[in-house]
Amino acid sequence: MPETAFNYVYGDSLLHRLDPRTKLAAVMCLSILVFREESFAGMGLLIAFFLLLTWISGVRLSFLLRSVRPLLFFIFFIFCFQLFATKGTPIIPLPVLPPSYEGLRLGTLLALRFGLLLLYAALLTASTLPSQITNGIERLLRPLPLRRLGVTSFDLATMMSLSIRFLPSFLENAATIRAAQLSRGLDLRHDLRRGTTAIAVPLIRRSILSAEEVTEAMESRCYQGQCRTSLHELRMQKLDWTALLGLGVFSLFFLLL
Amino acid sequence: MIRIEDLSYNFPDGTRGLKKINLGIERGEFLGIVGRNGSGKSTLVRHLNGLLKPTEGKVSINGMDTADPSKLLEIRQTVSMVFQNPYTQFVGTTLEEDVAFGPENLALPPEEIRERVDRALEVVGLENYRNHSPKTLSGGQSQCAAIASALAMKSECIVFDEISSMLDSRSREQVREILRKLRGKARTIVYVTHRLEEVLHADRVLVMDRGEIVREGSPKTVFKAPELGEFGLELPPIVELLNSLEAGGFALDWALLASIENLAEEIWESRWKI
Repeated sequence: MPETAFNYVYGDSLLHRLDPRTKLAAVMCLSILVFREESFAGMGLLIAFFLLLTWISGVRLSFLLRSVRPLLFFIFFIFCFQLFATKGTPIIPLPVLPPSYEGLRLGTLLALRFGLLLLYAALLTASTLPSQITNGIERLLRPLPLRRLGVTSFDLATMMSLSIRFLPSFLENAATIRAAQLSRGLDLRHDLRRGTTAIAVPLIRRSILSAEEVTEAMESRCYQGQCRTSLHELRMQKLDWTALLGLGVFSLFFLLL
Repeated sequence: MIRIEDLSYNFPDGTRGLKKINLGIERGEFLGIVGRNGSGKSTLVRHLNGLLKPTEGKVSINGMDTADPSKLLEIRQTVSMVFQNPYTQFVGTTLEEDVAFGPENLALPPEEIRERVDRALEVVGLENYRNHSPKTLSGGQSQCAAIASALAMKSECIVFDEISSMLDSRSREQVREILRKLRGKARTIVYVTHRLEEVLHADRVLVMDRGEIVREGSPKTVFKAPELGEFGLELPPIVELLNSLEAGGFALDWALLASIENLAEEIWESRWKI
């Protein structure tokens, strides 16, 4: 299987060693900055900061760029929409929907915004194991009174990590079933509706059966969703506080500028 | 350590799964359970850690009734299970996390979890694969991981439910090697299979058919019964050889089955006696 977008890249950089909570907070904070920024200079600074972090992480830039690819069409659509729908000085005088300079500016900003958002998220997942991310989210959610809703932060974390664990199996099953149905003469091109049911029904059936086996295995290993501990108990290090402080200073500087 | 009294079980749709099973399993025993598909062997062992509750009768583990919900956690710490499908019982995103899953559920301190994980991985010989994802492990390795996960629970008894039926012959040998290692360690082992050669060295063998125990005894006595075919089971060729030799007046020691080389040697040396 080729390496896909939003995957973990093994490493031992400063970024890899940070506590997942620090990184989650940083991504949230940077996302806010990215969305508030209205000037190209600021955007340039955020891009420069992203490049700096990428350099520190040791992850290849091309790998991170790949995670933007699936949404490229969407980003392009937004860009075009802004370009043609924003009123202002026309670049080319067309009778309907003339592209405007204001639209070009807004479209580019928005496209950069979405791209940068994805890139920061990709940097998080590339430098943090999925289990560490769920672990971090679990710790951040723990103080919330979720018990009143009938779930615990542990339940949520387990759900998240199981989804991450079984998503590839799900896709694999889908591919197997598709191949099996095609070899039985299923024609996907001419009858998409029937084709979809022919794949979806066995896929759902198989997933439910596997889910049952997973449940048995989890129950046998004493899963109860109440209090759990973790092999990798999270501990904020000096490095984390330094990073958060640095981030705070950067954001403040950025907002005041 | 395990007592089963008059256990009957009906599936939710009303079909009979088990009929009046009586069985005791002693501490440190290696018990083999054989039977064809649908004979009820997996249903039986799912009662040993409370995954299924008896419709009638009683199952008790070290005196704890499996029908008592307050004892369930302790029962599952006493009896762990390894299942057939190596992939669906792999719940972690890496090998290490998967083995840690059980101890984490027991809310043990991280140092203790680390120690258990390291020990368990060492026993199954996967210590160099700790950061591998299930995708990069072979079927045999995944099944060894499942065994490590059971070991990390430090339970008294491990139930192996058809663990080799989805493996190729090399992985099967790998798993068998680990079982041999485990056996000496005063753990109770319940081993379910439809391959008789995997329980040749068990202390005791049960044959199940249609939800009942139809034969019980040492492998030597059970594997002689000519009617095993009726229960959909096939004697391993080596046992057939031994049985035919014995029928011809040439009895060999059953212990020789432990190694084919020894058996060949014995037959070779005995040719002078014929």
